[in-house]
Amino acid sequence: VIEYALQFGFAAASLALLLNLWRLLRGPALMDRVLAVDTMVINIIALIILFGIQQRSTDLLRGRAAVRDVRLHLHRRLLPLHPARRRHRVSGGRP
Amino acid sequence: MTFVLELLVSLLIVAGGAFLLIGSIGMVKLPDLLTRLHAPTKATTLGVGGALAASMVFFAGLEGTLSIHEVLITAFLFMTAPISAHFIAKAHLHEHTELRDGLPPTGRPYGWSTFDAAPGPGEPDGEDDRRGAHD
Repeated sequence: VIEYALQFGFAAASLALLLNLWRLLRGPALMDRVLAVDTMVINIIALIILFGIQQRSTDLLRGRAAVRDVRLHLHRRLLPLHPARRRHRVSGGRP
Repeated sequence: MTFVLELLVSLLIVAGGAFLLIGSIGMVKLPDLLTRLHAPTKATTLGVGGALAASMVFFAGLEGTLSIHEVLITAFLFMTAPISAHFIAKAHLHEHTELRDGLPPTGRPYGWSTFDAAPGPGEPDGEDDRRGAHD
């Protein structure tokens, strides 16, 4: 659920930044441009916060699952090559 | 992380994004600077507050600890946003001297605080003719 909410949040904040940019370029008075920059700063703060949430949530969903898969894979592949296991097999095969 | 907590975070993110968008749309669409000032100072600040609350709930649910960064960001943002809006409005009033003519009388011995100097401690009555000296 958070993924879709983050998509919406990123879209809304980016669209808001574009509107601010339009006011910054278009603004008839100097104070309009000042106000536009002020609002852009606040929108960028919101974007950074959403980015932080996204980093952590994808780290949870994708990153940890990927790490677990790699560790499982390595575990299965390398287990027969483990020195203790090999010595056991050799000593058991040819007495 | 439970589903209820996740839903709460999502709801806060969506509300914050909607408020950010509404604030910026208002800043583009409203006709005058003094009305245009309303949209970003209120709606956008509330939108960032929503995103910050979402981040707080998210990291509290994730790690079980209350993160203090968001509280600090909220505090400083809510402190500085009204100040900057106030001074933008004052600068706008100083840029447009024709706005002074429509002002009602203050009903006090001194004039409007943005346009006339405040009465000093030694002169409680101020100077009423200072208004003419500016123009």
